[in-house]
Amino acid sequence: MLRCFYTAGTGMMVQRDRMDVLANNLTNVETAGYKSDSLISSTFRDMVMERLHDPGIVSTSTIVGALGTGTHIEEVYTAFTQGNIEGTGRLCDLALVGDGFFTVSTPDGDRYTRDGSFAVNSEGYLVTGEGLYVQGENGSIEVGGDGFTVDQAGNVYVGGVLEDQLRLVTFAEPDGLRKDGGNLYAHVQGPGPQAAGDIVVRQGALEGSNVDSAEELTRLLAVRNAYTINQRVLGMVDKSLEKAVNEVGRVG
Amino acid sequence: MQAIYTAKHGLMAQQQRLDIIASNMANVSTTGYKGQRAGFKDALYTQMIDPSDTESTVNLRQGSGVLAASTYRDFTVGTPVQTGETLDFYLDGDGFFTVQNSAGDILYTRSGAFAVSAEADGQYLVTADGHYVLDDNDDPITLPDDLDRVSVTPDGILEFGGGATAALGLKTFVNRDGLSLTGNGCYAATDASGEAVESTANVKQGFLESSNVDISLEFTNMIRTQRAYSLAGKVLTTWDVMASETNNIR
Repeated sequence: MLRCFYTAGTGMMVQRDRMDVLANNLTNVETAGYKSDSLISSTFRDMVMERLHDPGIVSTSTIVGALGTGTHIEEVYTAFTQGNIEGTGRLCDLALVGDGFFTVSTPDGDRYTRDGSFAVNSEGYLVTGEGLYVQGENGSIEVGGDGFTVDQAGNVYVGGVLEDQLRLVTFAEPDGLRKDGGNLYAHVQGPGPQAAGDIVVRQGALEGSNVDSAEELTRLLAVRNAYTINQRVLGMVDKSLEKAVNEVGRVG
Repeated sequence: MQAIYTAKHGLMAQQQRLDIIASNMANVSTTGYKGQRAGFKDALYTQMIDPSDTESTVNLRQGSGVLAASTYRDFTVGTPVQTGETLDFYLDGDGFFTVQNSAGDILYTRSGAFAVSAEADGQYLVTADGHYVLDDNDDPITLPDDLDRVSVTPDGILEFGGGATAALGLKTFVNRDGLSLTGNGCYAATDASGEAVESTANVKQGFLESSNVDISLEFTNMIRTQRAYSLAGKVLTTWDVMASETNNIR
């Protein structure tokens, strides 16, 4: 009976974490290049129930069956599906169509992003909105101003002359990428970055968030109800225990 | 319960974006105004702990919402509007007029609606706000008495008749997004914008530059902002329902 408390409790905790992940998706519905997360939960390992003190069988126990003990968070899965392409007409805005990332240089090493809302800094280099240098095959890209052009393969031309090619990379195991905030991903495990093949760069456009607000709202309702159900279970267990404690043992 | 703070971030970010849209819409007929847009970034992520495997290094990243991290100004040239006025100038291309305010600071503007200021030591070319318009040596431009004979060449040389000339100080910046808007359509140079460099824009007399705000785009963005705002609000109310359930456990 007491196990029910914890089973229902783990259910509430998982729904709470799921709510946190959904909240992050829903607030990033307008964030360029954002990829939606979903929380995957799984059950704790089943326990084996044994019947002890069975009067029919002396000095041994009978296996009754398996018993689940609730649920826990297992993994946050990021869906790297394509977001909508939105034309902005701004020459520093670059959108990626297909599988891959821009490479940007940070004090902690290279990071990867799908957010192509870039700018040109005071030294004439292509940077992100936060001032991190966008990397080409030959390092940071000096474009001199916003009069540069980028072709579909990511070649950057300044005044009609080829300056550099954007370093567009892909990962064999996208699970090895970790979200770092600021629309950046860090590579933490698995095979390293490889040159992206099947990808097209669009200048003057941005990739929107791939969050589907209808789907997320549906999940939000499901989470709220699942949370309530777990709370009800907890309440019922509590009532049953109350009866056991106060009424079953009452004399007279 | 991170969700309530996440929702708050969402509400704040969309509120900031709405402020920017409101500013764009209010300046839909301001000469030389350049529209702005908000750029969002996802906020910090923290590691969640899997209770069945506390050593786990798999992706269990919990986000904390969104930040309106940067603004991008759209410096595309607005359409020219013919006014026929002698002292109205339009900049075709990337550049700014150099002006000086009463405090002596050098500022930059796209608004070429100039006027004459008659002072004790002569007539000066000034902006609508009374800032001196500077020449290519950062000195205030003086005007002759006969204004009907003022003309301008495409590269910004004012010709006053009788051989007198003055060159408009036309400047631009490597990173125009880094300029800080000081009000009245004037920008100041900052460390981020870099030093002013010569501009190659063409000057046209008798025209003014209209605002480059696209009202239909702003309306679309306003609707999107409103939707994103209500989504964050929905998260907040859902969190509230869940919190009250928690309170009702006992």
